[in-house]
Formats: sequence, C-alpha cells, structure tokens
Amino acid sequence: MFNVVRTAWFLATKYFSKFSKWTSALIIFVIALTFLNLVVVSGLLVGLIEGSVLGIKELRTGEVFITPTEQNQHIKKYNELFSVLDNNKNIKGYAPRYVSDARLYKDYKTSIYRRAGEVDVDIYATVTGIDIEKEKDFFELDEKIIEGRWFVDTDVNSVILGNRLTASVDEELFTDERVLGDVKPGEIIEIQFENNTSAPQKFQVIGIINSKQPEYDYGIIIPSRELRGILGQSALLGPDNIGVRISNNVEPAVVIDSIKASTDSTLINVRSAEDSIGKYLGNIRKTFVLLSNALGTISIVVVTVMLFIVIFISAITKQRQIGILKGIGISPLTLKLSYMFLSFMYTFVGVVIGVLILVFLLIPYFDANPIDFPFSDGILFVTLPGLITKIFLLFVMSIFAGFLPAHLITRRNTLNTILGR
Amino acid sequence: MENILQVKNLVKSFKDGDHLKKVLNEINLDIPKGQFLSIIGESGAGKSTLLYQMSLLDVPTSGNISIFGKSTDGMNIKEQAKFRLNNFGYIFQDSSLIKELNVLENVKLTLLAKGISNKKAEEMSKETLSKVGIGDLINRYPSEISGGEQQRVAISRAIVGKPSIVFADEPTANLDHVTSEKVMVELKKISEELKITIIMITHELKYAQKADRIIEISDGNILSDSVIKK
Repeated sequence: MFNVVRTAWFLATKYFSKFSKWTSALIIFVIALTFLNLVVVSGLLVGLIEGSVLGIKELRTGEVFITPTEQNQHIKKYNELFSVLDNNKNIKGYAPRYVSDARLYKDYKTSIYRRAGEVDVDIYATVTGIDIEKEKDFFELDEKIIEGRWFVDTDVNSVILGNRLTASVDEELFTDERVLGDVKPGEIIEIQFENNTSAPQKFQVIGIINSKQPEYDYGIIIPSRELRGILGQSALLGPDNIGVRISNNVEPAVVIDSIKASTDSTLINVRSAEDSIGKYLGNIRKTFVLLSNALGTISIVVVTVMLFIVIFISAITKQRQIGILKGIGISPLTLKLSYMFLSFMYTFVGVVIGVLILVFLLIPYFDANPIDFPFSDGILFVTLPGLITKIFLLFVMSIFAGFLPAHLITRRNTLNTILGR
Repeated sequence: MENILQVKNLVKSFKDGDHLKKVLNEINLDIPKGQFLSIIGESGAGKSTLLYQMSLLDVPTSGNISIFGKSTDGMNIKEQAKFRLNNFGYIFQDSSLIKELNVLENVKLTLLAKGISNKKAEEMSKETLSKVGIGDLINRYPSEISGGEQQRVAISRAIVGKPSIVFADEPTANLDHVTSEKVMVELKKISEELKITIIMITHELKYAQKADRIIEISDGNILSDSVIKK
C-alpha cells in the first residue's frame, strides 16, 4: 500500500506542477472563494447575534448579572450584596442601575413631530440611573456617546439621551417609534418621573448615546445620585440590576457560586451573561447558523461539481496516458489516488489562501469596521472548531471530487484506452 | 532451452455486427527464455492482437497463455497489473511517455511502483538511460526531445526494472530510417547483453531480421516460423 500511495503522490505532484497555470489559478481562486463564502457568510450571520451578545455583555450584564427574583421589584439588602461584591477578589468591579419610567416632553407647542389631533409631543421612556464612574470604568459606556459628552461629577439636571429617541423628520415619517425630535446636546427637555406627581422638571441633554442596547438607546441615562434624589424613598428600595465584571481567566460559575453562597438566594438571581440573555437570541443564533449551513452546503456542492468536472476533463484528455500507465503495471488504485491527491492539493492551496485572506485581511477589517446594525455591531464570528470543521468538509468533498472521475476513467478497458477506442 | 512463454490454442474473436469474427485462430507458440522474437504480417493479420493477449493487456476468447510454466487464466485486473509491473516491459508504437514527467521521472516511475527507494530508482534509471545513450537528457520533458529519443526513453523504462519479457509494438513505426536503426540496435543490444526475452511486432522485414526468430501471421494463423541463422 505504501508503494501505491508513494507513486500516486509522486504522480499527483507532477500533474499539479505541470497543469495549466491559468486553469490552476482559476481552480484555486474558486476554492478560496468557496472557503471564504463558507466561513465569512456564516461568520457574519452568526456575528450579528454574537455581536449583540457581546454588546450586551460588555455594556450591560458583564460576565455575571444580578437581578431581583420575580417576587421582588428591586434588589433588596443591596448594601450587604455590595459588601460581598467588594470583598470578592475575582470581581474587578460592578455597576448597579436604578430603573424608572418617565414621560418626556420637548418643545411641544411648536414641534413638527406632533401628530394629528395631539395636543403635545410626549413619549414614554425608561430612565436608568447609573454610577457614572463605574459605568465608565467597567463597562466603558462613555465610549458610546456619539454627540456631546459623558457625565462629570459636577453635572446637575443633566441627562444623556438615547439616540433612538431622536430622529430627523424624514426618519420619523417612516416609523411608528415615538421620538422627541432632532434633539441636540445643550437643548432642554422636560421629564416627569413615575410616581412623581410634581410638575415636569427641566433637564439639559449633555450627550446622545448609541450603545445598541435598547435600555439605553430608547431611554435616558441620569446619574443615580440625581435619580435617587428625585425619586426619594422609592429609589432606596434598591437597584434593579447589577452588572459584574470578573477577572480574566476566572469562570463566571465560580463567581456566581461564591456570590450565591454569601447572599440570600431568595432575593436575587445571579446568572452568567449567556444565561441572562435568554432563549430569544439563542433561537435567532440557531436560525442564522441553519441559514449559513444551507448557504455553505450550496457552496460546497458547487465547488465539488467544479472540481469533479476539472478532474474528469483532465482524466478524459489523459485517457491514453492512463491506459499506458495501467499497461506498464501502475495499479488502477494508484491512478485513482493520484487524482484524489491532485484534487486535495488544489483544495489545500485554495484553503491556505482563504485562511490567509481571512486571518490577515477580513478579520482585522471587520474588527476595525464592524457592520453597523441597529441591534449590534456585526462582527466576523469565526471559531477554531467551526473553521476546522469547514476545512475538513471541503477536503472530504475534494477527495470525493478527485476520486470519482478517476475511478470512472480507470475502470475502462486498458487496451481500449491505450488504443484510443 | 526453457520456455518462458507458451501459447496454446489461442483464439480471439471480436463481435462484428451479428456474428463473431475470429482474429486469432488456434495459435500455438513456445517462446524460449532470452529469445528475440519478431512477429510480422500485414495490417489486420492479427499480430498486434497476439501481442496484447501474450502481454496480458487483453483477455483471449479461448485458449491458454502460460508464463514461467504457470497459466495466466483467472488472473484478476489487479493481479495482472502487478504481474505486468514485475515481469514485463512495454514499448508502444508512438510516444507513450508521461508528458508531465521528465525523462528520468518517466523511467523511474515503475521502480517507485515496485517499492524501490527513490535514490536507488534514480541511480538505476540514470544507469539505464546512459546505456541507451541518452544520459544527458534526464531533465528534459518528452516535448523537448525527438521521437527517436522518446522511443529510447521508452526502451529505458521498459528494461530498467530488469523484466523477463519486453513487448515492443511496432517501436519504429513513426520513426525515420536512421532513428529506427538506432532503436533496433538498442533492442538487439538489450537482447544480447541483458538476455531479456523480446517479442516485437513489426511490418518491416529488415528490422524483423535483427531478431533470433521470425513468426509470420496471416489471417489469424501462423504462416511461418523461422529461426534466423547468424
């Protein structure tokens, strides 16, 4: 068997090196494209969801997310919890958020956004009270400001507005989303907080945020010290959620277990980011994977057929040569393997070029220029096991595409092929 | 002298429309070891068909072929290929070289298939190519050498593995007179020096007469069988 493989490899390398350079270049180009199609299309489709998951984790939940249990509206005994979090050496930091509903008004008397029959322009939105330092240090929320600036300690009556609450006239005409209008930093809006019966208070918009997190983009952000001052007693009930960042190389489960062990688990849910994201995104992810697999299958079939045709034509044109080789004693298996190796070589070079383009061009490009989707920054999501599976699949199909045509030719009568009849 | 190849009652028929056409008709032939045998005859006489049956490239309709006293009946394709690789050498009518391989690689191919190491295969190939006078062409490709040189590469490929029998199917058919003479000189030299049995088809008597024995075929029958006196 060793002789068979050695001779087949010898023949394949010679066929490969002496094959028409343009034809070889074309075959390799198509294989590289197929490989990229397999990896990039699925990588982008899944990347939309992964980008979303990553965004949620990086900007909201952290690696561990703490929320009240269903029976509780807020996280109770939060001072004890803060103490537990402060003393856990695996936790880098955490950020508690206080959430309230509010009604927003802006320029209602003259607004062009007023709809027929409406007295004024107002919208309902979520107000999130945050620790401005912790959000900046551990969640880098300040980097998502697209206009204006992030909070400073001395800010009073200042808010950051979610970009989905602002819109130009044209955008507004095509959507049912209620917006305040084309609000710019420096402008004043009025807010009436939930459970606050006093008149709406005036706030200056100091920045516009585009975080692709609905909690922020469809709401307003205010320092928690200010929110608690406005809401009074109700805010003291506790934060609505806490995002926790943990040290590198520490498993979230370890931190979750230690938090649970030190707190009253009837009051809080402590979950990993993945668990807290829920089934919805998981289902979308599954759908996209299914979709990309379907597209990938088509690509693989196309490249298999192409390789089959190329090898078949090559073998047909070399029919007499194959007959002579069989005549002088080269076994049919050797000849079949030689074409299989030839196909393998084309696939190998195509895949190597594809991987180089992927690693040195596409991944850095999409990292630097994520695709701007409304709900996420689309990244090119490529995992090593996924990559290996696709490469393996391509090689299996290429082996099949090389072996089958050679099998069809070598099974013909030796003498007939030598004599060309 | 010991017979290396025996043909008994060999019949080969082809389907011609509704009936069978006999191309070889009850051929009986004994070929001693080391003999240089020429088979001559007119086109369509059946000489090539006889060569293909004896060289196991085709299967007879009936009759038997024994090599080294052993019948070749019942050999499957794989066994035939292995037998040809280990015992036969072939020289075909026109260029039978692999165009993707250079001269040296064409010659060493069968040695690699036999399991000989690459280094040893190259040594043996170079030695054989030098013997037939084309040792300086080892790096050339078939398209870069003349028809005569190609045939000498084919001879080298046929004999490099020291086969028991070399089958040559009109090796001078597409060559000019001078080149044909050179090829015949090589074949004669191989026969004399290496004591390899050579079975050659030709339709030119002057080349047939270089052999030790001439068989003339006509209409699928042996018309004459004569030993050349030197």
